[in-house]
Amino acid sequence: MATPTAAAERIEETRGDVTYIRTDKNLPPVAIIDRSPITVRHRIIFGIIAVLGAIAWAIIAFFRGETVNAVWFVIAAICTYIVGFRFYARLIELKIVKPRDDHATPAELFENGTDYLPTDRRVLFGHHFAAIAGAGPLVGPVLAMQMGYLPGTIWIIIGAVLAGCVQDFLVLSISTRRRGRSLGQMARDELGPIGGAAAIIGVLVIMVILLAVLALVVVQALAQSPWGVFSIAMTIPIALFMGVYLRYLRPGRVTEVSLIGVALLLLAVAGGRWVAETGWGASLFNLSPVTLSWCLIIYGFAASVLPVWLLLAPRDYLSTFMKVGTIALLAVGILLARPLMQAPAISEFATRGDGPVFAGSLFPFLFITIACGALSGFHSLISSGTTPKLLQKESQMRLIGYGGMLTESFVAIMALITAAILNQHLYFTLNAPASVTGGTAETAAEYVNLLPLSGAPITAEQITQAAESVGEESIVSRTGGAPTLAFGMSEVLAKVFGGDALKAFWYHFAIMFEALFILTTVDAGTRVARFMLSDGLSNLGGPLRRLKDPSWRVGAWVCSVIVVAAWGSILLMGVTDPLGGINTLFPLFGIANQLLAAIALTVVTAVVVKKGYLKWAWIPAVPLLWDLIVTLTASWQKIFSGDPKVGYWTQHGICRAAQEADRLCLTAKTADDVDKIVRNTFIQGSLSIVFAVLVVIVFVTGFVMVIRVLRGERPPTTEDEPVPSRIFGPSGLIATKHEKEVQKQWDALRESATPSATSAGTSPA
Amino acid sequence: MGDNHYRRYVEHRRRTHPGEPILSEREYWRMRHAAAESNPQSRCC
Repeated sequence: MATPTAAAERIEETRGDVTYIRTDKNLPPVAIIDRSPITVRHRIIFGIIAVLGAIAWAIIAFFRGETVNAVWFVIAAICTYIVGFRFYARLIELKIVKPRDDHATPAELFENGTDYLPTDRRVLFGHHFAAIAGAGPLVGPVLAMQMGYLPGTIWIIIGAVLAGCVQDFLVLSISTRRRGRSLGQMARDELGPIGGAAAIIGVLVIMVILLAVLALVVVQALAQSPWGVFSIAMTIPIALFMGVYLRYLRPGRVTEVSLIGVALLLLAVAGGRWVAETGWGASLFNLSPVTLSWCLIIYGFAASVLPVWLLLAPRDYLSTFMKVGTIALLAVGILLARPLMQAPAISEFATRGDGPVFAGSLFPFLFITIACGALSGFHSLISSGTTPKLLQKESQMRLIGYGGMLTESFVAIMALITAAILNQHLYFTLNAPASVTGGTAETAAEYVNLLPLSGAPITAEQITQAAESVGEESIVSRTGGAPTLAFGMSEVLAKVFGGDALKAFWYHFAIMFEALFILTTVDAGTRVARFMLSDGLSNLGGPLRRLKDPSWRVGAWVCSVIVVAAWGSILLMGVTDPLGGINTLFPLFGIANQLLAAIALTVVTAVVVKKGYLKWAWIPAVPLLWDLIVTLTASWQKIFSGDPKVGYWTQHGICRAAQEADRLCLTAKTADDVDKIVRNTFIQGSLSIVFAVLVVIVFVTGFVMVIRVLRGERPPTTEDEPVPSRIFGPSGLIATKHEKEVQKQWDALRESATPSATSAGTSPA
Repeated sequence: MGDNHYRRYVEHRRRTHPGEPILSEREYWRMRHAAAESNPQSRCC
């Protein structure tokens, strides 16, 4: 461990283009600065990658005739990522981040063998990725397919390289230099009390809407699906079993118990078909959306107050295993199956803005619908606070922060592909709300055949057959994105593994995998929000101060009830919404997530300017301005648009008038529906206003801070005094020749000191 | 995933607090979970 009192001894030794830095003459180097110029071989390799990427982009963008192969999307994405990581991320590293490996990270400085733990970069990459990626990058691109594959592809890849990855990387870097402080704390420190308070309230409100919408996605996927409900319900006893196993039988055997859990889970998915076919199974697990919502609400509350070891921790292991495994499986499946795109490059809905999946035109709503995968503000909560406590070396931030987000972007591209290879009539059958499809195969066929789609029209039999092929009663209006993704995944995976016989299994496997992520986010999120709420309330003083004590059960229960009631009521509002639920709430989720990104990027930009890197402030400022333009335009339209498909208050006004005149309005079929629309649009409209106002406050405080700096003031930054590092770790995924040499010296030193111990700081788990 | 966390904890204790008692693996994981209880980690979407 680094002792903060140690005298700063800095010994530099340069051999050729490489400088080795030691902080202690008795220890091997802790940092390597490699100034070797790029070799001819590398130039040629990157040249080829760039050309290949350009060809793939050209094919995606200009090749017409509905036969673009999915592989081109994968190539375009990977080539762009490599160029972005090698050149743009490197530029950011050189000009803004300026990593210092001779300085200790919070993980090294406060190492305690528990939550502060310098972790092997490859393991941390996995942890960080598992924490940032969930159902978001899977669902958004599926819904955005309404506008065709091209706009979504461009935004996911370019948005990640220029915005999402930049945010994650820079938030990680400023938090690491501030002992792993959270985004809320950094906002208060860097922007002042007003900006800080607005940021903290913003985070809490945004979290609530996020939980509600994710829960809504699960409900839409599982409603009236006994097979799906059974397999996801089984994850609870499996998690409980794993929790007990880890606590009482074999503590610490995480991989072992996770493998057992995954095996049980696969068994549950396979057994689900049999259960759903029995009489008792079909009646017990065939739940309505409202019943399912109540189950989720009770589950969220239980997970928030039950001990972590019993439910939360084992579920998290299970979900991490499934996440990494299934995503790898899907990537292999796509490369082996090489499916063709069925969706058009740009659909008619992109320009008309009246698509049934979500309302609004391409700008700004495409950029709202795809939040995770391109730019996701929520990541800033992981990049600050959580990951810095595990980071071994500052130079690894590029791999973890920037690289982690690139991987999530790739997940989003795969989700986009699985939606684009579906028959377009089937896609709209799945994704148009029941209020327009009518809910039956006949009415749905009639509806989608009237949409401006290419290809042969669909018949009711074909829809019923498609449902049967995946073991479901009906696939009409299974909105929310998850069933569509599962349908696409089952096509890809059945093509490669198992054929049509396994299609239903893969469909339910995919549903279970998405629901598992979402439930993990819901239970962890409820808990985190509960802590944020009690922390915020305790600051108000008086008797509320007692909430500071996390072991006070009454306080924990009350705060849990408040959080669960907040997202639960929005969830119930969504499932009973006569306007369709997903298509009215999903934009709110996207707006919330990206407004959080605006908060994070404002903090980052202020820090960059304060540090005197004004010349490079455009790196975070350009994505910030783009994000503000998109989200505030979307908020503006949601609040002020006169179009009854888009504006919440216009919908509210129309139905309000209808309510008074005792008439029906919009898609309402009963007077009760009218009342619901009046209430829901009021809540949604109010939330839109709250989000926008909070973000404008944060942005203005950030702007004021920047102006103060430009006027020559020197407002303090809160970066901590560096402490010399006494550990080493390679920067990139693959260690360089020089890094391997130094690593050998450290390994030798460690072995001579403790003969039995292995190199703990560097071995992957 | 966490399989080596206990081993790392033992090394860390030996290095920084030599001679002091070290938790057993069972106790160590209880402590880890108690810490997670009061400081939950967020999961994204």
